[in-house]
Amino acid sequence: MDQHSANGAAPRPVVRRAERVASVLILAGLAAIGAAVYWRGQQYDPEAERLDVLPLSGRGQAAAPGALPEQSVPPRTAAPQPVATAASTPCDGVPLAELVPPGWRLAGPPERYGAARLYEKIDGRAELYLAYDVQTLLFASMLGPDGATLDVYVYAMDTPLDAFGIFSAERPPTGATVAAVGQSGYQAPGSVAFHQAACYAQVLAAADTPQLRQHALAMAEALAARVPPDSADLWGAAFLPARDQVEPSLRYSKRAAFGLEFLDNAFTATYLRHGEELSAFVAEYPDSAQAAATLQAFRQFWRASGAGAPEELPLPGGTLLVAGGSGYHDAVFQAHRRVGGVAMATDRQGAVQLAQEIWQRVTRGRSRRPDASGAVVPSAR
Amino acid sequence: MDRRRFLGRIGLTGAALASLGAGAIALHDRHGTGLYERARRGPAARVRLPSFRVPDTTGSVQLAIARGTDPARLVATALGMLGGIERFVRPGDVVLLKPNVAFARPASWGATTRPETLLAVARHCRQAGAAKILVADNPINQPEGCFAKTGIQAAAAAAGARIVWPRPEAFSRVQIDGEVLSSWPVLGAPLLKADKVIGIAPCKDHNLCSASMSMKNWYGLLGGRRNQFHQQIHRVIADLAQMVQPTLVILDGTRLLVRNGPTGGSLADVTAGDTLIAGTDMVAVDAAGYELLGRDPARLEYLQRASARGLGTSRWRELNWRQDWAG
Repeated sequence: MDQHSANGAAPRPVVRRAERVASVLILAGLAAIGAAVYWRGQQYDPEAERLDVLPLSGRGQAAAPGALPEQSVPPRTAAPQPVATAASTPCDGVPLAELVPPGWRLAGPPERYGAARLYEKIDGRAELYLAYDVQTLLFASMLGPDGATLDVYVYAMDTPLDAFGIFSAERPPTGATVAAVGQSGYQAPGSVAFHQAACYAQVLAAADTPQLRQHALAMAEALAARVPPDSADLWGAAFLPARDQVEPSLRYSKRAAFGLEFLDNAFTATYLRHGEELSAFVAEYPDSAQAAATLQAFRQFWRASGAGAPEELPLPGGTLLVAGGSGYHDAVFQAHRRVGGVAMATDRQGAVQLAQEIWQRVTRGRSRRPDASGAVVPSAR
Repeated sequence: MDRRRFLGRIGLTGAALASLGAGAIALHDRHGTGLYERARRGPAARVRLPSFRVPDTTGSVQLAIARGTDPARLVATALGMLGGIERFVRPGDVVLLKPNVAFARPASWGATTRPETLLAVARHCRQAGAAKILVADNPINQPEGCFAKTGIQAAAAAAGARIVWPRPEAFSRVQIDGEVLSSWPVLGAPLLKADKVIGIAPCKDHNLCSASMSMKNWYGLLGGRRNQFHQQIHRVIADLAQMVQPTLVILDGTRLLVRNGPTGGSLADVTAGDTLIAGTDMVAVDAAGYELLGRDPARLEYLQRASARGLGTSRWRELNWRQDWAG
């Protein structure tokens, strides 16, 4: 008779050695998993501080099929990536790897950054590009046989006018010569830059040598050839007189021209008259109500800065507001949905005179218009 | 239990364990748990940086301006006016040098610290008996490329200094108690190892804060998504001056990036400054540097904020200062 039958209880199971070992291993495994999860959770990761603004901004964009994947934080050691074969814009799809000069090589795989992560590449400078609605940056660094380097930056902006805007913002006032590349371009010591369609491109050399200049220019030309032509409409150039305009000072400020928060979508240019610098502008708004609001903002600005109420000078069919304080004078008018004039001039009379000239151009349609190549030709708007 | 049932149960248990492990890995928030734990533990988990300052003695020079072109001579001249490197570095000290290595651009662009200047400072520290020299910065984009292309890696190697790479494990949450920065992840490992800290910054234009100099140089130690501070940049820079109290700062104005900062757009944006400014009051050093850029320190918001907080003075001429030619 067995034990079960003797006392009605189940027989004590016989646990073999193999079962004991397996049980211990299972328990040890559980403990190890628990410990590993805890340990990993305690490891500090700066990424944890990162706020992914892309989904919050609503402006995030997925990489186009075949395009370079966007860099992520932190791109410590990027593995070689496939070169873009398709992209969301012509600039975004420029095959940089195919532009490497003979005898040169890529220093690393081309990199691609979306607007939200542009700061990873140009920290502190990204905001300027964001103000012009940058979409993506393509970057590649190329190494020459003698150790020289060329860095290529191709920015895809929202519109051709944005591309001109950032181009004009970064163009050095002196030390650059016109380069026949893109819609317009320049060559400065160590760099070539141009804009074409919605693209703004820079080729930066490590040094300013004749050979590197040649390589940089050739690279810029090759880049421009890959971008379909689509000229920016430099509408504001039509209203800013050519006489006494300092070259190259024509700029397009998408936001906050002259640092004035309320002055958006403005063309500006510098003039030199009677030894004094004058900064002229024309801003355009969707309707006359918004233009009037800008004029009102000027009035508030003058009040806040102690310039007081402006003097009102008659214009043919309008009024020129002239305000001054601390040795600086503004002369501003509104013409329908445009606001124009001269800002922060030390020469009051010169400011008034130039503002009157701009008024005439804005209201009479006399203008100089850029043609498709970027050259300025007389026309009417 | 027969063999078949035993194996069946082992199999089931194994599958359950595998599922458990996979679930744990999938569900585990590796970002969140550590932070939660740190938050639970409170401020004690945060690091507060010590002051690295050397007390000024009576009559000691606080700011030195050396004029010339050769970085090694400029460093020697400036340090000489300040009383020699021995005033700041003692035998056996671990010295951290903090250059600006923010961008993978050659030093000729003026956007980063000149390697010759860093090398000269490191050699002086070595001569003073420094036991170890560390070099650290946190370029967001590919630190290896930035250190190599700027020439800082080669200079560090030539000086026998060790680069502390900005690996995740090198960051600590530092208590700052600033106006904007209460606490923030900082490349803290080299700071916590160092006895002395010397900032070596270029003097350059900056798109957001007008100029990047000694105080802004500490921005390069921040981790995380630090660009979110750009809207409050002046207050943050003043906070940085509160966070790091260095032994010495050196502002290299031999090349001035006068436009299109902080990156620069062409070599036409760089002019010769032929000046190096060194001092123990970084607000004063930056005020002098701002004048080097042809701008008025009274109009630079972060200088005024730092002055108002008592972190230094923007009226640098009120300090005990010297000027000399470095030949």
